[in-house]
Amino acid sequence: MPSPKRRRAGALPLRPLLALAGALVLASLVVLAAWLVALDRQVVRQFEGRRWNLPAQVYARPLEVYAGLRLGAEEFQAELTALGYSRTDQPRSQGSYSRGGTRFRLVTRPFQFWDGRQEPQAATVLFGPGGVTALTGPDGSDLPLLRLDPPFIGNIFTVHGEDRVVLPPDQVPKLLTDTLKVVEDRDFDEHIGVSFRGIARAMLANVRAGSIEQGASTLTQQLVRSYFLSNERTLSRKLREAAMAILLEAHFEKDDLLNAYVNEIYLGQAGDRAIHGFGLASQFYFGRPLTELEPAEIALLVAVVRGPSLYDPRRNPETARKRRDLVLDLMAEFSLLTPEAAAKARSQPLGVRGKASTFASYNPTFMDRVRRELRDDYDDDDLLNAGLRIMTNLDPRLQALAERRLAEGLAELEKTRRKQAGSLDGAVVITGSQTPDIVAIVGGRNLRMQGFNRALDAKRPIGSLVKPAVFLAALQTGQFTLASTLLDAPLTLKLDTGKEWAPENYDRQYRGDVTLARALAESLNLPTVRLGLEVGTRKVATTLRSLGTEKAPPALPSLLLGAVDLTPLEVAQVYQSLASGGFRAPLKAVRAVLDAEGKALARTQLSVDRAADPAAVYQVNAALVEVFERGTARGAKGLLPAGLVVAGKTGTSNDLRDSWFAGFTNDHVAVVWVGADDNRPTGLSGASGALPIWARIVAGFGDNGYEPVPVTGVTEQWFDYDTGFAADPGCADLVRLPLPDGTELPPKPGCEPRAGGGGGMNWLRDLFN
Amino acid sequence: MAPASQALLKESRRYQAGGEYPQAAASIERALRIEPRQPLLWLELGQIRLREGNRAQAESMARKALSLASGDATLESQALELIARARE
Repeated sequence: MPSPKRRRAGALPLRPLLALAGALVLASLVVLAAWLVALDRQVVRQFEGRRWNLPAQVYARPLEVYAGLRLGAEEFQAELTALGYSRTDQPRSQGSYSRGGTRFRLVTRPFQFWDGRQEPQAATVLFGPGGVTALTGPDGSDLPLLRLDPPFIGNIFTVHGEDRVVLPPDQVPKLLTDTLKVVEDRDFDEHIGVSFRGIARAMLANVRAGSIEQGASTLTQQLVRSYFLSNERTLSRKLREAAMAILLEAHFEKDDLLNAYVNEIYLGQAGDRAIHGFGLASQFYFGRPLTELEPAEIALLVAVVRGPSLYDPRRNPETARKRRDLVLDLMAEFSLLTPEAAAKARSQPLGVRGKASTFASYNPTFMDRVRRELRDDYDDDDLLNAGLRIMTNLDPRLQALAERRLAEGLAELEKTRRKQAGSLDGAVVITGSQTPDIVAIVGGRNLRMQGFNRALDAKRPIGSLVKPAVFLAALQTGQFTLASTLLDAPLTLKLDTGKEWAPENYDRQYRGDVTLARALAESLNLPTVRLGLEVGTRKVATTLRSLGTEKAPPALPSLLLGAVDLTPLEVAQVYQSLASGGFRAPLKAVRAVLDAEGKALARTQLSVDRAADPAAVYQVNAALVEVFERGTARGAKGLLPAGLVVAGKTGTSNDLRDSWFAGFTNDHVAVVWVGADDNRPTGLSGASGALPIWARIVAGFGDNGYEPVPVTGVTEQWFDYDTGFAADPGCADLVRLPLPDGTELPPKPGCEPRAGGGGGMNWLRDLFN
Repeated sequence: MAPASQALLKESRRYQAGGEYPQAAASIERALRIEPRQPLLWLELGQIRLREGNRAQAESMARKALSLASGDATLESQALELIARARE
């Protein structure tokens, strides 16, 4: 037995050392435990936060196909392509089509709509020069109607620009998860988060040349890395990653982890947009939902996991293909595919669709409106986590058209006007003409620049866009007709403020007596002010309010020339009320909201309210058609398809700061604003700035021309455009416009109409019009 | 009326018979997006609104139908009747 003495004499006093070591170990354990507890909390919080994260999915309008639909074969094909329908010779599976000339055969996808589930439908669509000429079912009988599934346009997130398609487990093909396990993590079902067998196998595989490189990280570790960690390769990070993976596994089921992985992992880059998750990647690379992918396509996505940039099938197709084929080999080796199926898949091209430009359109300014409409009824938690499906009115074709034409139009204006590139900006709103559907919103020329949504937030003076409200208020009194005359002569007004106001015409000319029709068509300021003062500015303000502005504008004389600030969307609301014949309906982007099970939570009920006397609106609109025939927009006629009748109005604010055009066809209302964000004068009038852009957008609609249903109480009559008299066509400029029934027009002196009040002439004219 | 609208009108009537007014209205709204100037559809929607107890919208829809009736006497009298019932 060693004596205490010897012990003391020795250099190593064991007991204090043991105590010290014990204390150190204890301290380390405490630190380690604290660290683990903190890690644990972080891991659980993050995972719970993401796992239940089912952001609302947003859809565009479903295309309704029927005989008589005005849609070209190319546009139809573009819709099918955007929906990711695959082109084959024999369309049998849902989401596929064939095309021979102008004949399409297709099988639609099922979809849960707000009015019930739509089953897949096989159909044949035949196109003629004017649109769809026939729609038949599989047995050759006529189908009245075919509703396609609606294009998916994005998710609602709190963070702008982040985009994901979150798939529940039942929408993830088993072949994908099986392949992931085989290629990335063979022990996934057994390991505790880290796999020592995997590490060993990886080291071995890395030694053996030519073999597929085995990842040392488990799927769980990869998930952890994607959630929490940067990509630096240090030992401490590796330890942290392993600890977190083990903690995750301790808390959650394998299936949940696998599903999180499928929705989380990074798979590519589209500009500044990171592509996370297989759902979005499937859209990004193939333009189709994950559930419809072939084995070769699944293999390619799994190949990309290892290095989205190295195996980018668009940039490095050879490298990507080699790795895809290796994945296919493994799929066969592990009996996920028969050898024949694997061989067939290997022979297939990558099948990646062209440029990312064809990728599901991304419409931040439209989505902005959707978000705002939803904010009234749903809290953030519902929108981010409840898996809602939002059905909207977006028409992707018109949205793309408006975006393109606005950008081109602004660039052209800058060039021809020798303005600095980028000095102008603009906005476009497009709605239905009879239904209050917002079908497109362009909030600026550069949609990637998030932020200011001019279509919703730029409140600008509307200038002469107000004039239809002045004339409507006047016609509703019954004291005026379009053939009544107003004085176009200088005018000075003493305002309540004591100041004097002397408005001028745009061209500073005076024309003497002019008809209401002419004053509105040519946007003459002085007759308009006289008319508005006679009717009363208060009446004009209430008329404008009733057409749809959010607030009644101040009833000042300057209102008569448009000194009222409205957003392009508000202007669209006002002009939609005119286009729909005097019925106001709140404009909406959202059509319906469905819950995760497909049950309708809310539907935007179509509702209308009478905003104005339909007969008076009918007369105003007729004068708005004259804007293109004889008025301020006649210069744009050449930009529109020959014979297309449209109605509209130019608007210009003081010092040429804001350039507006608002108008409609039979089917749509469109509003264009052009100006500068800093409110500097642009040198552009409504006719020179917004109008050509408006006309080029409307020319692309393929709409029917404006053709109102005749209303009771008014009759079309011929009269002299300048004087409002009944006259002979030989010595007058006759227009045919609606006047209240029984309006007696005096004959134009020296130019009296022949054969009883011009009736005979009217009959002849009618024949030729 | 276009065959597409007719099919949807038929569908709506089926829903109406079962008292499923929201679906019945949805079918008519679908038809209205195809044929927004068809006064019969507005009239039908007005009648559904009245059955739902929404008198104000029933009257508005009838007025909209009236503005599109272009002299069709039968339709006009139906619309006027709906307005009268909405005001009862």
